Amino acid sequence: MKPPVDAKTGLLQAVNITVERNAETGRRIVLDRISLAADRGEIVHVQGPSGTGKSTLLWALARMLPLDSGEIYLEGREAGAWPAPSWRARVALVVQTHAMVPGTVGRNLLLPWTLKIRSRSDGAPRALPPDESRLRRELDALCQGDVSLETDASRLSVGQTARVSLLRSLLTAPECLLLDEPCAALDPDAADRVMARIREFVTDGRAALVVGHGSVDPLGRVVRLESGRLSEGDR
Amino acid sequence: MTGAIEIGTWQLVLATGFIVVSAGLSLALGLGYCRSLVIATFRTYLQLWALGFVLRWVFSIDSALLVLAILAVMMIMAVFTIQGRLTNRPSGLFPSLLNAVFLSGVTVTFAVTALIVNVEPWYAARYVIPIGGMVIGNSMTGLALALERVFGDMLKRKDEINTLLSLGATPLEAALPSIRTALKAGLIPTINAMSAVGIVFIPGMMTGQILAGADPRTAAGYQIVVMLMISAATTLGSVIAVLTSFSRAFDKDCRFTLDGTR
Repeated sequence: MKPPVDAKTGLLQAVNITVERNAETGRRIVLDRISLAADRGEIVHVQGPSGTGKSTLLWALARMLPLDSGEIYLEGREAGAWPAPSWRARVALVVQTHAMVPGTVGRNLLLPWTLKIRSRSDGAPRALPPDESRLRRELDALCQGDVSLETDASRLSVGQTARVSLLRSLLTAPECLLLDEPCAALDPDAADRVMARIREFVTDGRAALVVGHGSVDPLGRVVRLESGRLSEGDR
Repeated sequence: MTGAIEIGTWQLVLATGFIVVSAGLSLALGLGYCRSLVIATFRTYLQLWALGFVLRWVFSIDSALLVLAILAVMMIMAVFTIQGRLTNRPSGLFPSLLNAVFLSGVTVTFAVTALIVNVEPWYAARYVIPIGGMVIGNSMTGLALALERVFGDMLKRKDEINTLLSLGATPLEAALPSIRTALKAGLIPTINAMSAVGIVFIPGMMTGQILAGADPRTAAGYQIVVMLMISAATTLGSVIAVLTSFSRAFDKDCRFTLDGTR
């Protein structure tokens, strides 16, 4: 099936995707024939009440959940054409519950470069492992000195974990970022810094889908998800 | 050396007295295992008597096919037992388990009987069946421990595994810390037993041989071989079982499915 949006601009597309989940009362439709495109240079804010399937949408787009129907495309190629690890190296999911592996923040930030996918030329976007000075600079910019490379990752607060997780994915230079409530546990200043970093990321010809109730980027597009259905939202 | 002192009916009745004491304690303290204890005692009598008769018959025939068939039955029963012990078990484990029990059981049993004990003929039931039984039985325990740990640890590391997968990790990369933990866990009881043997306890096989009239040095030699072969079988079986079954916790699109939320 051909993607409905121009592959040159429609970086990540979902076409009529439906996701059902197991519930106590049987199968429940969480996403109901959703179609959505995120173009290069665009931030798409997905908003809506709690429990309407916003996080499920991100997990489905990262292929961390199976689709019951519909297709997703990256750069005009259907998901099935990409091995799942290659897809996820390009469409990076960052959720709040994501854990740090045991060790320091530095070890966690370099974790992607311990994976085989980074050494395969066709596996992941080219991104050299950042050197120590870049790691410190990026970490300071996002965390304002609260966290250092030597900090034990198990001692991070929820907000710090969210920012370190975000930075870890940013450093791998994915094509598209899928962010679940990236500013939920942050004060307004920290949230502004996070949004500024996301804006900087997309201006480099990439895209971001941001779920949450936080600040909306002035150049971003807002869509609303309610009861598993999508509609264009108000800015 | 004198031969073994026969255990007659009167001795067995006396031994049952131990169970009466245990059952009495269970009743007095309200522990609630009195019924299980009585059933287990009954099964011990029945199963070991039956085994005695079957082994006597098998030894008298000494047929290669019969010996192999008995080993095969032991292995299949071991696989069912392992499956029954696993609480966080994904579906479709049977082929991996059978493969692990078969490869470790056959390799170690016949390596011991052919190369170390130099059994003639190679299928001599008197040697192959007891040694095979010990290999399969002990590796079954290690294997069950390793598998229980690998799936339990993966469930505990669910968020970490999803993090790794979302960064582009393969299922093997995401599961590797759990695999290492599980293989260590499977081998720990064997290493502990090897460290304590002869000091803290005299193992059942050596005790049996001494009671049956064997020279303690001969019994010790056999026991050393047994301990080492159990260690080899446990390691080999656990490695094969864990490496061929951990991927059942993931689907074909490298998603972690063991938590059953999909």
